[in-house]
Amino acid sequence: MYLSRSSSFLGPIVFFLITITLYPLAFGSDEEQLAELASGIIWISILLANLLSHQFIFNEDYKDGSLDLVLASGKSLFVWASIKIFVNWYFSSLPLIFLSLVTSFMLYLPLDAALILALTLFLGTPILSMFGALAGALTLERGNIVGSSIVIPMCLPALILGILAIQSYKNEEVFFYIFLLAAFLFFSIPILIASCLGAIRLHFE
Amino acid sequence: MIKVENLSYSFNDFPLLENLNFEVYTSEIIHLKGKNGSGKSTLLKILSGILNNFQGKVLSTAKNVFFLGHNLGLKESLSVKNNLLLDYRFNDNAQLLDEAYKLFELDSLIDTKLFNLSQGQRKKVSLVQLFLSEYDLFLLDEPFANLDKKGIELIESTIISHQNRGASIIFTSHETQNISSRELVL
Repeated sequence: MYLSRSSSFLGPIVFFLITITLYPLAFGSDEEQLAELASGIIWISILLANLLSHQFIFNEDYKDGSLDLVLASGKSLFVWASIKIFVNWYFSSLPLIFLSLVTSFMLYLPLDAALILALTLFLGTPILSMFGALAGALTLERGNIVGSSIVIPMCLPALILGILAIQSYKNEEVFFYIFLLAAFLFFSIPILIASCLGAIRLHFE
Repeated sequence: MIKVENLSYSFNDFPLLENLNFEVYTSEIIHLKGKNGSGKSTLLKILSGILNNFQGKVLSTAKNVFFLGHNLGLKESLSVKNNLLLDYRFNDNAQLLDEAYKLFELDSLIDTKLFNLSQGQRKKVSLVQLFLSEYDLFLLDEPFANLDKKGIELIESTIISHQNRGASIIFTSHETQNISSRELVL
């Protein structure tokens, strides 16, 4: 079903590729400067690309009545929301992680740093997807701008930890930031999914 | 099967349902009537568990509930077949599904995407779900809307077959229906 709606997964990919291509054009082809900025460029581009997909997580189900059926079925809303968020992450964020590895070489990021980048994105993008889902759940009947303005500040800790981990890839601090990011993900899963359910329920009161 | 006691519901501080008391028994078909905005759809949503911020009590012994709302819960970007296969409400039975396609005249449309269908044809897709589902309680909001005479006869016979199986059915409709055991007016 997700694949039949190409805008939901192709939109973020196209946006990410365009954004990443524009940075070298804007900053010039200085290898050192690009390598220094690469972690921030890739993380910010992924964060912005992610914003394009969060409106698809629950909105369609709310509008077409599927959400009514899920609520009426008596089945676990937590499981349903978790699956929706995972599918959204799988189709919109996972391709971006692989693309970011490819584009990191375009930005002259060293291989070791690129591997740390991939690891931070594996830990960080599910957090972005869950915050995106929360924004989507809060703004089911409203526009995407409101959701985006809610979600960006909440994603900043993951963004900062991800960038710090990549920038400190040569020393041991990298593990500290990765553990923090992993802990952030671990605690985010139950809290953010439960928050999504609360936000969805608000629309039925 | 359902006992409603002193049920009240307000929407944006506007009292929509006030102090309702009624019971629905096993194998009963209830026709829920009322003018526009009287709260028929809201009552069905409360009985199905979609809305739960009401006052009063709703006691139900139904193990599972089939709900058909104004929005049919179908996916525009999927074909008729995939919409039905996606549905979690009935077990996939290929032979029964083929029979349902023919009965509801959807056999030539099974690979057609939903956005290419008329409102009546979409309604028939959701009625296939109704036809194939074996539930204790069916809550149907305007099931006869957008249907031709044959479609209406089909859904009437489907409802009666569910009643004969021991299920209870509550439906809303502005038209007079002969299949109901009793009418409830809001």
